[in-house]
Amino acid sequence: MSPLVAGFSSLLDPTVLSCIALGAVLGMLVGAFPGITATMAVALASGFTLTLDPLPGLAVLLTIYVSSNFGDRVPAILVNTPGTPASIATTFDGYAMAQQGKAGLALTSSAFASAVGTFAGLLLLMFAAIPLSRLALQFGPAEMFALVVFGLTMMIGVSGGRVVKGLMAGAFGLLLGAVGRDPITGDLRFTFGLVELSDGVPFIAAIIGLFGIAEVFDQIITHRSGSSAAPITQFGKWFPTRADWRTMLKPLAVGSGVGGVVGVVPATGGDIAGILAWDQARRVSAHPEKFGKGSLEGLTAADTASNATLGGSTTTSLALGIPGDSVMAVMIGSMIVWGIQPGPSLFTRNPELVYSIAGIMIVATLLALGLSLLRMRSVAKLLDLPRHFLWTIILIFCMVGTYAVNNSIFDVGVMLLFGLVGLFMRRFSIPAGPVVLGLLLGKLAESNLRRALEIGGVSNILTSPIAVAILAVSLLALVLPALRAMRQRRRTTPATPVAE
Amino acid sequence: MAASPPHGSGGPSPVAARPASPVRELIPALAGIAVAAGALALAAEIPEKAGLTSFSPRWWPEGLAFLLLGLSVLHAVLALTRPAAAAERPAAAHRTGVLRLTAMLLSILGYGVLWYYVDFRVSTTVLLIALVYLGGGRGWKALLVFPAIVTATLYLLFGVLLKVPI
Repeated sequence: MSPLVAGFSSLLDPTVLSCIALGAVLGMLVGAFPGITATMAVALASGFTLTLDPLPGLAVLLTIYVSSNFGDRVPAILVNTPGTPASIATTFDGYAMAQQGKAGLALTSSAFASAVGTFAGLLLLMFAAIPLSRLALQFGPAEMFALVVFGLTMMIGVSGGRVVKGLMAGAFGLLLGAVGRDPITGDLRFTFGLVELSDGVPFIAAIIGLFGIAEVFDQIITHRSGSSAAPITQFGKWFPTRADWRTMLKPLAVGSGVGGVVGVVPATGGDIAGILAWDQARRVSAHPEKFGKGSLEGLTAADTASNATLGGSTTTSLALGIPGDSVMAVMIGSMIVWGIQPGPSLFTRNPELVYSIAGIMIVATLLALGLSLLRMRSVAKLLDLPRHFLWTIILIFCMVGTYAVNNSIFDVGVMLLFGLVGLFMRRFSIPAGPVVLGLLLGKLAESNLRRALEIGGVSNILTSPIAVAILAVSLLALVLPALRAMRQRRRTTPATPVAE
Repeated sequence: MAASPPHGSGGPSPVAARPASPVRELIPALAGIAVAAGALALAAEIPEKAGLTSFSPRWWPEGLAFLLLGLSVLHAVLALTRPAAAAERPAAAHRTGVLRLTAMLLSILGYGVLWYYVDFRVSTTVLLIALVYLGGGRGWKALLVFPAIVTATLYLLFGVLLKVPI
C-alpha cells in the first residue's frame, strides 16, 4: 500500500473522526473568543491528548489549530477584535465591510478564503515540503534581517495615506519591541524593574488593547443614549456572487503564495502573512484606494494568506524539526513525547504519518468551513445586542481571556493601558497597524541586524544573494507606489485642458 | 455610515469630513516628542557593556527614539505649514461618554481588588452589574439575568474547561 493511501485510510477510524469533530468545535470556540490563542488551546489540550494514541491525539491538536483560524475571523469582522493574532489583517477590511452592511458577505467570503488558503498550504505540505524547507534552512541573520525589512515596508501600506503618522506609529511599535531583554547581551531595557516585562510587552494583551478595547472605549465616549447608531446591524447578502468570486480570484492567488512562503519561514505566522498579503494584494489591485475601507479583495488576501501559513509551518516543523510557529512548537513537544521525532528522516521513516497529518488538516478544514457557514447567522445576531450588553461582553471576555494567556493580572493592566493608547491614536487618526508591525518585527529586526553586522559587517548582508534579492524587492515595494502615483499625476495633468 | 480608515489601524469608527486643525495636529507630534524624549532618558540608564559586542544594548532603542523624534518634528512642521484641508476626523466625544468611560475604568480597577479577596464568580457578577448599569442597562433582566449567564459561561469556559486558575 502506498504511503498516501495508508496515511489517508487511517483517518477512517471512528476514534480519529470523533477527535477531529471535537477539535473542530473547540477550535472554533477558541478562535471566536479574543484572548484565547490557538497556542494556548493546543498547549492545554496536549495535557489531555497525551493519554491518547498519537493519531487521535494529533487529530484533536491539529483540528484545533486549523479551526481556530476560522473562528477568529468572526470577532475580527463583527467587533474589530482579532480572535487570535492571525486575524489582525481581517479587521482592516472585514470590520469596514460589516460597518457598510456587508457583514454576511464578509463572514462567508472570509470562510471560503480561509479554506482556500488552508488547502493551498496543504498542497505545499504534500508536494513541496522538503525543497522549500531546505531553502528556509539556509536563512541566516542577513537573510532574516532582509525579510524583516521587507515586512517593515508594509508600514506605509497599512498607514492609509497618513504616511508620517504611520511611520511615527511604526517607530513607537519598534520602541515597544525593544522592551525586555537585549537579544544579544541579555541586558534589561525599559522594564522599570518589572519582571513581567523582561520578556517584552505582552503581545496578545497589546493587540487586544489596541484593537478591541480601543474600539469599545471609542464607542463609549461617542455614543449618545437614545441614538440609533448601531453600526453593524445589516448583514446584506451572505454568499458571494459570480462577480464577487471573480474579484476574489487574484487575492486568493496572492494570499496563497504569500502565506505558503511566509509559513515555511520559521517563527513567522499568520499575523505577518495576513498583513503582507493584504499589502501585496493592494499593490496589484485595480482598486487600491478601496483597501482598508471595506475591500473584498483585501479581506480575501489577508484570510487566504494567514491560513496558507498552516501548511507552510507544518512543512517546516515536520521536515526540519524547527517549529514553523508557536502552535507547532507545542505540537512538536507532544510528538516527541509520543516517540515521533520530526525532522528530514520523518519523511523516509514514517511517510504515511505525514499524509495522515495532511489528511486530518483537510478534513478539519472542510468541517471548519461547514461550521463557519452554518453558524454565521446566529453569531452575527450578536450585533443586535444593545450596546451596554455588547460593551460588557467584549470587555469582560477580553479581560478574562487576556488573564488566561499567562494567568497574569499584569497582562490585563497592559491590555487596558493599550486600550487607552489605542483610544488616543483613534482620536487623532493615528493608525495602529504600524504599532503592531513594529512590536512584532522589532526584536527580529534588531537581533538579526546585529548578528549579521557582528559576523561580517555590512558586506555580510550585501554578499548574500537571498538577502540582496529580498532587500531589492523591499526597495521596489517602497518606490513603486510613489512612481505609480507620479505617473498618474502626469497622466491627469495634460488631460485637464482637453476636458476643458 | 462612512467607511472607516484602514483598520488595522483600528481607526476611528464613525468619521466625518471636517477641516483638520493645525493645533489639533500638533498634539500627536507633541506626544511623539514626549515618548522619544522619555525613551532617550531611559536608554541612557541601560548599562553599557563595552567589549562584549560591537554594539551597545543602547544603540537600537536610541536610534529608534531619534527616528521617532525626527518624525514627530516633521509632523509638527507639516501641520503648521500645510494649509488645513478637509480630513476625516473621528466623531466627537461627549462629556457624558467620557464620564461613563472613567466610571467603567474605576469599576474595573475595583474589580481587580475585589477579585483578590472574593471568589471569581461573585466579583465578576458585581463588575458585570456595574458595567451594564453604567452602559445604560436597566431592569432585572439586564442587571441580574445577564450578569449571571455571562459569569456562568466564563466560569465554565475558563475555570472548568480550560482549567485556568480564576
